[in-house]
Amino acid sequence: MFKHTILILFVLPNFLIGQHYFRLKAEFSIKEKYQDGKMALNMGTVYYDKVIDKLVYKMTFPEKETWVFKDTTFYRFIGHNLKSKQMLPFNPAATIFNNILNNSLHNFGLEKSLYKISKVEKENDLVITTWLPDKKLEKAFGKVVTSKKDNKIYGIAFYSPTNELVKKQFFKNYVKAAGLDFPTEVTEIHYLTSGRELKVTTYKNVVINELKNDEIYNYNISNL
Amino acid sequence: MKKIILSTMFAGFFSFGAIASNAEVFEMDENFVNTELAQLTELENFVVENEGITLSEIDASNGLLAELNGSNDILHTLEMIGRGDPPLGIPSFLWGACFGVAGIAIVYFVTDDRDETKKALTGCAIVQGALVLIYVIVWVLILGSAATTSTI
Repeated sequence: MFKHTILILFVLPNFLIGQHYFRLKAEFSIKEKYQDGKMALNMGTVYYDKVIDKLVYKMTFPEKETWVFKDTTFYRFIGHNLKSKQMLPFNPAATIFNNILNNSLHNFGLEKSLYKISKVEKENDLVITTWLPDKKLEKAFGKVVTSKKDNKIYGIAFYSPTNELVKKQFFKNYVKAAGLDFPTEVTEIHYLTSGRELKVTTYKNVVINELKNDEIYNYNISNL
Repeated sequence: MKKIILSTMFAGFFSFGAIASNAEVFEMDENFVNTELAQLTELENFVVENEGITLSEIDASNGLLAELNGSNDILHTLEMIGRGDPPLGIPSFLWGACFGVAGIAIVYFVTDDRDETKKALTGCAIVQGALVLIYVIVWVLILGSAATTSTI
């Protein structure tokens, strides 16, 4: 009996956790408008494998290029020729894609940070949560407000320590991809003294755990 | 997570948010967004219709390219995609240097990035090492001075 109890309590849940999500692919387009009126359009397909921990962008516009991120190194290829290699403060594991695969997009990991929930309120179809930084940090950090709709992250707003809104993001048009919620439209608005900056990223044709295209997910950067 | 915490560089930024309620903050002006990006949406459709076409293959006189930033601005794009940033945009080294162990903890929890945490650790180690050195030098000077005085 004891053995059965142990089995049920500790072993069985491991088989019930669900599918292991490790790969993601999606076509994307990023439209940006800067405060000076300039604009940018980037399009392509992104590949992310969290086990290999490589993030690969097959860019198709403005030019055909391949961007590979591994650890903090960025490789830029034209064709298969390395055009440049540089260090960047960028970690593939810290992207929205990793959050999606880990099913942790709903609160951006705030619950693991030095932020604490201060207030939860419901307005219409939104559940709004206000997060405040630790008291020792409130001179440096502003509050963060998140909103959920249908139990999925809808918006997140970032404030300065003086309670001024500096940026907000909206996550919309969720699709179910292999059981994972994937926001296919992310809108970001920056509020600057000189105006607003706007960025909209859209995704389509999302594929989870693709078993093909190993040569892209694990793009060869050895000996570079 | 990287997008959650913003830089104090933005502290002086204009905002209407201070007077808006939390619910109002999450009202998105779809018309504003669509109007602002109308040209890019048209360009995007053009690119989709002409599969495989690149910027350099589009006639430069095409009106869709007006005000278009032609270069691949990787850093800007990465910011959109969701790259890892040091907390508040302040270099992790400075977090460790200025706030010591607390700074390292902030970088660790906020960025969840080993490399950023190492930078914070380096910053902390250098500053703490320098402080210890200064402390030792001051005490050596004081003791040396005291010894000289007592000898006299």
